[in-house]
Amino acid sequence: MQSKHIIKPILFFSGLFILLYGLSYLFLPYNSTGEGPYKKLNGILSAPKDTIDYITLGDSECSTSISPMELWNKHGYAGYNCGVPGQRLQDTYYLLQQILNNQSPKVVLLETNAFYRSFDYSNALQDAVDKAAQNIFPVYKYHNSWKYFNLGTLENIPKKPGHKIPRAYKGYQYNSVTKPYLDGPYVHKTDKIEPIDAQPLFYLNKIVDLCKERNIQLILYSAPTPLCWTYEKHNAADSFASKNNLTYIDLNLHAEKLKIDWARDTRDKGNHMNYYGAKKVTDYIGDYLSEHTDLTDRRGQKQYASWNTALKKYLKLTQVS
Amino acid sequence: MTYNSILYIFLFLPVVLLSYQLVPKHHRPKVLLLASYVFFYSISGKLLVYLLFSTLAIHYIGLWLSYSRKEYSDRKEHPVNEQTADDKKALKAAYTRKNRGILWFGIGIQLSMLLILKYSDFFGGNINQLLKLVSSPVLLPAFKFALPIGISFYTLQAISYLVDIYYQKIEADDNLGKLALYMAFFPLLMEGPICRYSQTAGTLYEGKPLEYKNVTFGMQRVLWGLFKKLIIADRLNMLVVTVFDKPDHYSGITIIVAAILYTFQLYADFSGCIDITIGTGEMFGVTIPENFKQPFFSKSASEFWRRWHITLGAWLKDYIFYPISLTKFVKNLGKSSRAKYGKHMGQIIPSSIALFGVWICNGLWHGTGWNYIFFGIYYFVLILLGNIFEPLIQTVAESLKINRNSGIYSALQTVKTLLIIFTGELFFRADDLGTGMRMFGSIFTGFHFNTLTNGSLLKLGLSLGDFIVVLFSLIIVLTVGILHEREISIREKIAGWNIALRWGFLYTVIVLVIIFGAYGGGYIPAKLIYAGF
Repeated sequence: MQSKHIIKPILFFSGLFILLYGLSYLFLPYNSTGEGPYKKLNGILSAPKDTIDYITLGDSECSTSISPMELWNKHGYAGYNCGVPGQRLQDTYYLLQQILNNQSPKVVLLETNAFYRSFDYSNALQDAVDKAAQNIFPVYKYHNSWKYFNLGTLENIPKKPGHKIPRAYKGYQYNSVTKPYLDGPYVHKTDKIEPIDAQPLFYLNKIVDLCKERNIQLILYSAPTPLCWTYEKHNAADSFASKNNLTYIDLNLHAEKLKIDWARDTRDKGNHMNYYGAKKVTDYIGDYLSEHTDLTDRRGQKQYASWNTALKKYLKLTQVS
Repeated sequence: MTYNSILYIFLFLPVVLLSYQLVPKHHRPKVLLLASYVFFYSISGKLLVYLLFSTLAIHYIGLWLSYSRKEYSDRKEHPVNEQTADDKKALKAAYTRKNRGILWFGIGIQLSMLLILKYSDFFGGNINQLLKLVSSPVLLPAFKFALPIGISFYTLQAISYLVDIYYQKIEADDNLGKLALYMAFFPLLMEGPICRYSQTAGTLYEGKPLEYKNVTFGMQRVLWGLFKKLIIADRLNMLVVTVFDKPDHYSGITIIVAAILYTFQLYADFSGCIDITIGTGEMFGVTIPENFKQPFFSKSASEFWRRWHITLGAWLKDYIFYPISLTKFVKNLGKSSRAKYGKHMGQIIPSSIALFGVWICNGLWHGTGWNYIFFGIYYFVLILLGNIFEPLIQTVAESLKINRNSGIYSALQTVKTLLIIFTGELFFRADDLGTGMRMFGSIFTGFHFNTLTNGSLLKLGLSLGDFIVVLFSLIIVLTVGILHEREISIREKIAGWNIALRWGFLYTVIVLVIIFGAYGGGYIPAKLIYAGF
């Protein structure tokens, strides 16, 4: 290639760099911590200090299986679902660390599906490149703000309340779609163990240590999921819980007790719970927390008045189903 | 990693381009092969062994075929004893049988892998349904295998390689690396197009240095692909998912809108991905065949399939239609049909057998549901009826003095074809055949014009702003289509502009893709649709 064929691309991409950098200033929202893909994190991080009594952690099996507002409605426990779809345990650990800067929950419920979400170099690299691009060019992160852009002031106006993920869900991923699971029983008793990979195990131990250090009661639970859970995995989680003196609730073994109706309670053929399934799981977990923890009923407390407002909104939002 | 990911565009591809250019010419194919396996591994992990096995299988079976043919030729040219005409015939027949056996063995290996990995769940499930109907105490065990990426594409490439050797269109290649690159070239892995060995293997293995024009033109093609995929396809995905995930909640005009927009989504998704594929190939100086030629301008269903997924249509024609047409049974059927029903039906009847094979394969290739089989049969019936009634339509048009070449007639034909396409895609996208039928029926039972005005269309996941973005983007795609139809090369035109105008234009398109692309927060992550087939 000739030298002009090297200089021209350098100039072209330099120009593009400057253009995107400039555009980024236009697209940054007024309060950049309140928007973007970290809504969930912001949700709990924006809660007043030391007002959350329990949190749930894990991947999508967590975010779809426990609805904090149902727990509030029945028991008055103030909690937050911090499950993030596709989250690996290392990210869960760092999320927990961040949450504990502002909150002092008595109970942490950790969903076990992420025990088997091993480290994927390609995804990690993809995430790293994505985050780098978002940091260098915020327009890449906030590009969707064009919908709220005011050409007159050349400013990005905040979103209307109707466009936000309703805070009433308290992190729960609401979905009322039903796609039945029809393949029958899926956990068949065995002594076999499916070992947890070294990388997730390392962060699992760190989560255990962090909870001990902060005097938090850590409870492991497995949401019902025919597509993801097996008895071999149950044995591994059970063995880990025994070794660390933790409570482990495998709801896959109690699907009948929970009255899970696989024709109605899953949104994607047995991968995740839908709203109807989540209500049953939440009910079971709520009763367990009521019997085995010293969580406080906050319903009458002034500081938690907004929770009752959120409940009304939640009931309205879930009414259609 | 997918072609529309930032990882592919800004890290993987530049690293491969740079490595390719920096190494000596004879090592460049190795760089491409290594990059292809890394790409494959990043998506399918250890399932890479299936691709390696397929490659090794066609390599050695191809050489076996070649050796067998050479052996026959040697024995024919240099017989041990003097041979009579009958001996020669017998020798030829023996080797024809042998070569056919080798070919079928090779095809069998490739097809078995595809059938077991992709279809065992579907066929097993259906057989079990039948067994349950007859109250059988024994049921087949349920198997569901993880599918390696691109198996539906590279299997067809593997079969075409063997068949082309059998028919002596190409020679078996003793260069395993060249064959491996043909099977695994990373831009082709996810959604094809389906290439022939004679088309791509040579240039792939040539190791040509990067050329400025190739790289810039390739980048522009990739950018155009991203425009279609990110702005149109991924945006429309939100409405499509909303309606097709809850089909019983919607009816009438909403279903019509969803079917039309799904068709546009599929086109923008698939053709956008192919643009990225062809653009990537172009950067390395590799010519990858076109897979689309303005399909929505078609005037009949058969023309549509000559313009949509062109390489699949061509593959099915060469490796299903012609082989079936040339079987003794079909030839004899043709003769007897001509004698009984005349020339027209004498052609239609035998060709319908081959056509049926083509459309069943087309349907099944796309997926393992009855709706896909229905999709294939739907086009089979429409094309067959078109062929049967063509003389009658011609006669009626002549008697009514209708000019079939007039603009109005052509426009009506295009509208008719669009209706056929939208209907077909409704069944194609539906979860299953029953759902497709219900959705189609609900168009008529729940049809209300006020759906267009009561704002319900704005509650399907797309805001008014999104609709406007889609509309403008589709107008741009339509304009580009019209220019391509007139055989105007837009990239050549752009290359003729002065630098300020050219760069300004490219910056604008890049900024449009970044700002209006439907990715990140607020959108549903959309997979490449054809990569799932």
